[in-house]
Amino acid sequence: MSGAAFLTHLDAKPPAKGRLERLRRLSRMLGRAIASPLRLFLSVRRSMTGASVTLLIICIVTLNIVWGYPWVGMFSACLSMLLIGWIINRIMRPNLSFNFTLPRSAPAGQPISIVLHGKNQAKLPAMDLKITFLPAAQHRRRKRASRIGHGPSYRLLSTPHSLALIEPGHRVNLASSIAIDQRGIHLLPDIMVTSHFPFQLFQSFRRHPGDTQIAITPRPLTGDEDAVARGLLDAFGGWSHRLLSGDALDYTGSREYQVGMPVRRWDFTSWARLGRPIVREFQSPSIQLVTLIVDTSFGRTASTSPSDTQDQYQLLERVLSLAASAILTLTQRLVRVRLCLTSEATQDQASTMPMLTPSDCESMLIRLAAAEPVSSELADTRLSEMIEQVGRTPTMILTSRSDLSLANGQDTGVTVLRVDPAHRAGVNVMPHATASPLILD
Amino acid sequence: MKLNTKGLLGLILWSQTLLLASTFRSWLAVVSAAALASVLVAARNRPSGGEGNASPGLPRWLGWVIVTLLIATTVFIIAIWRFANQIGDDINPVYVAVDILAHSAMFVSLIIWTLRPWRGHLAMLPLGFIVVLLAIAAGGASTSLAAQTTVALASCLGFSIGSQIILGSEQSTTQGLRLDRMHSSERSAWLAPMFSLLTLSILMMGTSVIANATNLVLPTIQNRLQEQLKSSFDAVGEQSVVGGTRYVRSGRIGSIRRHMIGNPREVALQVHCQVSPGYLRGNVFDLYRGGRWMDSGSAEFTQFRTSGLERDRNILPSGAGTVPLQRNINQTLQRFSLVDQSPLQTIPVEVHNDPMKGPMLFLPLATHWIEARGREIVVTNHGVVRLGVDTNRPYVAGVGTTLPTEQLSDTKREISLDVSPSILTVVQRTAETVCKSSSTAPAKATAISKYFNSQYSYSLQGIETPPGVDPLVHFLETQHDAHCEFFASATTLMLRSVGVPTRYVTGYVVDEPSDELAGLWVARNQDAHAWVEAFDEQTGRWFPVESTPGRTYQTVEPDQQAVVASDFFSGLLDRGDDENETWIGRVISYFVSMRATDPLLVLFRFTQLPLFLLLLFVLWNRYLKPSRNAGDPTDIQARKMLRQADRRLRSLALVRHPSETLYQFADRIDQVASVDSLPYRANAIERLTGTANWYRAYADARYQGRLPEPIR
Repeated sequence: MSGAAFLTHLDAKPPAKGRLERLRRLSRMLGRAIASPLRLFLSVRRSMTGASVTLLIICIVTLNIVWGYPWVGMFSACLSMLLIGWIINRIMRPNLSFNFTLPRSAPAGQPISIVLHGKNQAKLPAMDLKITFLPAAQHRRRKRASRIGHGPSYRLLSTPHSLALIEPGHRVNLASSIAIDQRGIHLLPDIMVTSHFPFQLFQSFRRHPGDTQIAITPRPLTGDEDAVARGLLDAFGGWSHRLLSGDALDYTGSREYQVGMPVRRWDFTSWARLGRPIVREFQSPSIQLVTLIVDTSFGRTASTSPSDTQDQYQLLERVLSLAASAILTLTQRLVRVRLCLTSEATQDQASTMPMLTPSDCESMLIRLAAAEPVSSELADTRLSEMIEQVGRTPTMILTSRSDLSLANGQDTGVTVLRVDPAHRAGVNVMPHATASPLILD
Repeated sequence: MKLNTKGLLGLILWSQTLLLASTFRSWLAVVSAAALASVLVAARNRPSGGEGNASPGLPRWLGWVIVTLLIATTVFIIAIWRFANQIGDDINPVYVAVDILAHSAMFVSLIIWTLRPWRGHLAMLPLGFIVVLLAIAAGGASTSLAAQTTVALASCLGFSIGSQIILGSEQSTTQGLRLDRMHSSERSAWLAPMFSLLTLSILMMGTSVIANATNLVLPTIQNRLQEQLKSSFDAVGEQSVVGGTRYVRSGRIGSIRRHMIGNPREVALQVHCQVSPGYLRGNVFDLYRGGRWMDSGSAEFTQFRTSGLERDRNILPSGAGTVPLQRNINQTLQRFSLVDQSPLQTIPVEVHNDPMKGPMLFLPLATHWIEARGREIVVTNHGVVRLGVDTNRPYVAGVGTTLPTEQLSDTKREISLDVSPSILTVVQRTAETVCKSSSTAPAKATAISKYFNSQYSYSLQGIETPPGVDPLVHFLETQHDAHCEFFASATTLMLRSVGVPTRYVTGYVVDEPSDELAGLWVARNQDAHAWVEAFDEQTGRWFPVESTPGRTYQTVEPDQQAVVASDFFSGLLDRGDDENETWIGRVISYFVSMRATDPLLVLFRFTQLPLFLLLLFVLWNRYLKPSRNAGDPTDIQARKMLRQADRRLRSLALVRHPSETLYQFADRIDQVASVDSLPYRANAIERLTGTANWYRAYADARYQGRLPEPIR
């Protein structure tokens, strides 16, 4: 039985839901029809290039043919290029899909190499293309305010790609480079594909969302930046050195020297007494695990004014940068690091194993990238819970809070390294440059 | 871009150069400049880092200043040069301005090309168009369809290539890093030019179509618009500083004089006729108010249109034109009969207008028919062809031996006798004095004509009329020297005041033989004239009255030449001539008469379609052929079944969502069938359930790689 015959067996009265749907569709079509002239105008205006503007102006001038000017040919040429050029441009509008090859994370402000894999999904070739990440200035915030839309926080480091043609179903791989200055878990910027076919008369745009996330980790603090940064690093270096090489060497006994033995210290007394070279043996440091707790709260007395909030954010970034440096330093020394963040729930972190391998190190940096500020009350609660959990493991708390009080910190030997916001006034470009370290043992 | 962009830009610029030089006869200077630019460009090597500004070593702003100064100086020198070249007795300011502008645009383009030989600059696109537009406006190309189409196609070609080079190079300079294997892109390298060629072919075909369509509808639009805006044109024409650029449409006294003294030697009309064509009518007016003549049949006098005034007549062609034209336009003219009586003898008068001066027909008073390009013409009650004729093409007037008779309606008589009360006293006093011994209309006309010839002098000097005084009253009272408009206007009103219906006519007196060709007559701006036509009640005919001192009315007299006895015989004679010509002679005459644009047009016309079809076939074969893209025939058939089933359910608001699996959709159909079971009959529910089961079976079959059973 044919489709028509099949339908005749149904009652003519459709369900109410269908009528509603039809009404909605009708109203949508009506709205579209009313708005279509405006949309067409805007679309044409957006797609015009220098060439089409020239054509339009000349076309208007050649309309003087109605007064007898012999410009019928020029009028026809301009009109045909305008009309047919626009139609062809719309027909040949590129329809590409994109995938990306990019690292899981990258430090803030550092170049990120991204390979774009574009595939032409249309039946016609895509021609005269320009492919680029949407420049930050054009990135609209209205669509995805949460992504990199708060001002020009990323920079395009590579030039746009110009391609003459991509055949239907074919792929192109394009290397691009951007730098994102803001720490966080970000979506990649949108990709803008522009086609200038035919003959640069018009341009059609297609915006492809960069629906791929990348973790922008805090920029590791370096001593080259400023004196305060050097001070912070020195403070941390001193703590870690003392922890790892000073107190932790235990004497285990003396023995006669054999060729090839590593000699740490000669036991001259025994050598003299026994007449044979005797060496003292020490046990390697027993401390192989360090806990880093990063406090991401602002403090109870934090002001709510925009400038103060910005300063507090910058201090927090400084703390996270210091944490990133600490993680990198410790893992380079083959020390296992357990990272705890007050922005993460304690029970989630309890299951986190201490990290050692480079990929583990990257995971910790990604966690730093995702860190969010929390209230000081919550931070205090979580700090207490963390300190209880870590026991007597060497622990360092990195914070920017001046009102941090540890109920049980003194007993467990927790070290607090505070990035002091006391001297931030008067510095607005690099507020962390004035922050001074404070060690509380 | 692998193309030699420098050379292509040069080629386009050289084409413009040749067009400009041939139009304005400035071969030496323009070609020398282009050659110098070419030498400079050829001497330049491509810089490794792309083109910079004019002076790479200088700061950017300084470079721009230097370039701007260079261009300004060039334009200034060109202005002086071209102006000095045009200085003469009959300097036409508009032509000089066109000349200067076109040369300036060309030279600026050459400067830009010299500075940026590879990429050019966006400004070269409008500058190029300006050169072409102005060159064509100045007569660089014929107004025929073939020439215009050739111009259109050449412009389309040049602009497309220029645009691709200039705008495309801006992108190609910022080429990013492509990681593909090279052979992949090389394999498809030929596709981009092929698509460009195909698009260019489509553009050029579209251009041809639009040119033809425009050519077809333009005359009608021109005439309609001209009619609608006639009064506005009159106002503009009156205020125009420069006279002589357009045909006089205004009836204000002084407009003819302005036309005559503004570029007086400029040719306004060319007429092919064996004898002097004489007076050719352009406008006829019948109402006079405050120094201005108006036409009661025009759009601004609606009261007359609704009254008993004879309406405009629409005339359809009675057949194809038979009179062979002196200049071949490769188009057939249509014959329109203006009067019912068919004269035995007519003289063909072939008129060539200047298209730049506006659409207006100029015909002798005794015209019985015209042959012109058009589909339908509109003729006023004064016998003037108002609409429907393409004046870009020549037209032929068949002038008869006798004037047609006419029965004046009351309204027309009333209008033709109308004299404004404010001037009636003065006009009537003078007229009655002059015509006191005359009784018939021709006698009165002769008396008035003699009066003006004996008592007045002709002068083209401007006359200052005191404020608040009608210029004709001032003229009759002071008897100052005047030009034709005053004599004609005064005669018209004086005859009216003594009971003779009259109308005021403007046009040209064509009596200057051309040196170029026997039988060719020219009318210049200085030959513009105004005269009178009066109605003789006894004969029922209009007759001309010439009262301007020193002038005598003249027109074509059929017995002055070998009259075209019959169009049939004329055609027969033509064919006889053709038959006497050998085929070799025809071929030779074809090649001799062939213009430079013809081969281009032939090339465009006859190679476009095959090229387009070939490209289309190649691309279709590569991309759109179903066998290439559709894959397995089983898949095609299965998808067709699915679409059919989807279509059936869509009308019941059961639309399968893209994210919905076939099983999920089948469940939803079952759900609808069970929930909404009341409005359906039992067999319908059964069908719905069956369809749901079919979807499940389809999914199973597709999963197993089988062809599903068709839906029933």
